[in-house]
Amino acid sequence: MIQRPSREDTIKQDVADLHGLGYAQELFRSMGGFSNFAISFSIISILTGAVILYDYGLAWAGTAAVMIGWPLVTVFVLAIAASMAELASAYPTAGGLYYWASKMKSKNWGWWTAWFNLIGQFAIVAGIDYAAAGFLNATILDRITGGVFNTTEVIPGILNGQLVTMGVILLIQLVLNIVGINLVALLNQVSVWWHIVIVAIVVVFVFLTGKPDQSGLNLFQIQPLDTAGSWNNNLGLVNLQYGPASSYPVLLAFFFSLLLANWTYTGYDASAHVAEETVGARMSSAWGVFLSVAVSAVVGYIFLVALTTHLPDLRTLFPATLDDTTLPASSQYYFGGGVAVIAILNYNLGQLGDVLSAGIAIAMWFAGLASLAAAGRMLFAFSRDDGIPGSRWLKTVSHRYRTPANSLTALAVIAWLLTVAAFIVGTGTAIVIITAITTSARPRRSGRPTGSGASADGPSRSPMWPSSGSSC
Amino acid sequence: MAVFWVVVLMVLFSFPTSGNISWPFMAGTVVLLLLYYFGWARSRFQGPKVMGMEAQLTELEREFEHAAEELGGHAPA
Repeated sequence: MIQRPSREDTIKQDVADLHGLGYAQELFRSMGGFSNFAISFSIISILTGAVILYDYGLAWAGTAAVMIGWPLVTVFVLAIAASMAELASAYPTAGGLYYWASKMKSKNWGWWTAWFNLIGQFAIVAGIDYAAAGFLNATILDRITGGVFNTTEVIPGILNGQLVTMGVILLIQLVLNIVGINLVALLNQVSVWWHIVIVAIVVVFVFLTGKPDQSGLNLFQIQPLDTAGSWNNNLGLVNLQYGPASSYPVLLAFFFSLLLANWTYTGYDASAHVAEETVGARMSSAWGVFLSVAVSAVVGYIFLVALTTHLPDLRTLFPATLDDTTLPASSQYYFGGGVAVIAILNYNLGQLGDVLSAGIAIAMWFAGLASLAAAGRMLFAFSRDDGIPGSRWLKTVSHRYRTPANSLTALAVIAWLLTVAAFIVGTGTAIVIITAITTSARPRRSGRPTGSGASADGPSRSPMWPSSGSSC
Repeated sequence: MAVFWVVVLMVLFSFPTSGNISWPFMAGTVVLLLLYYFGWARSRFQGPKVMGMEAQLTELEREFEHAAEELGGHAPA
């Protein structure tokens, strides 16, 4: 019978592995397998990405964006996750993709990977927390105060209520992240259960007490719904006119709708970024990467199917034209209003739907907390190798808490300033700008070299995550 | 399969969500990064650094542990 190594022995092996990569154990290693999984699951956050972009998918392909698009994207993302899991097992360091690209191809590949990853990390922290602020204001603060804080101009043209709330929640997340990985790990575990319980309540109540579908859509038919031409935008020098979704070939429109699922499946590299704080990192990080996608896929699909089979009249979700003010504008991306999911929950569940929307807002806060943790590790790792201006300061670790305090602070501040800048430039479309930056940068850092470029000390020599058994 | 989907994503994620921010942003970012890369990083960035030999790494960790103990922070990893 094979005896499992003790926790102390596992940590010793982790430290030895880290030494093998050339780094000292500066951060506090205490996270277990479930906590490692939890951080990626929290960042993927089916209650963030899938909620924010639900109307986007619906506009481009109708219900097929969920019914066909979600499982289709899942298959491919699982393939990516499996590849990344193997690399995370081979190189259990906070640098993650940056380190893998550097070792498997060259330092130059690593540098480019790191920068695209970093830009994506800044933007995803900003995007999640800006959305969380909007949801917290709309579902909790506004109900308490009876006002509309999101659009309140605190400093006209520069700062609105949503940005103020975002600043406050970022500050709270920053303090929690600096104070210790143990606290963040615990909150991430709470986040997992929070997500699952909210989804369970939505699914049970929508199926048991929800109202009949009034959309008139065929569930598996690709039906572009946007007819308003919201993609016409004049940049001044260039006027790019994309036209409404309904004017596109059906398959191309369906292709665009896949952003719903694909934007949701971001951030699962977080399990790799916290590898230096994970006990049994070679196994736990790998499983964290893979299982976070797998579990999100199943739970997310159940959640989305419940919503998609109980839609209200589509006119309440998509006004016929951009100028139509007689109908509630629920499409965040198309008309800068609320979010379709809130309208669907309210349609089906009334006041309970509003309460669940508040629950979704809290889930978004959890996602922001986890994304700041992962992004901080990425920035720390890159600055540890002097890859960024200010590295000397950024790589300094808090001696008291053993967390990358300076990197975390820089991330929170820049993410907030980035959003303020987006607000000043784009006013009501700040979330669109932030999302666009996120989606533009993040896939490029995934374009890392794999396989053929592996060096001699690459994954082929390292103990892989096992093919059976699970430590997560 | 994974590589195929990464390529697909690079196309999919480059299309604007509802404004035309993606392309201008990407173009601007790449230009800035190219300037930074050829002006500094290509010649000076060394990639992942080895912080020291085994004994040096252990010594570094010991310093961290002492500092943490003095500050009442986390115990050794």
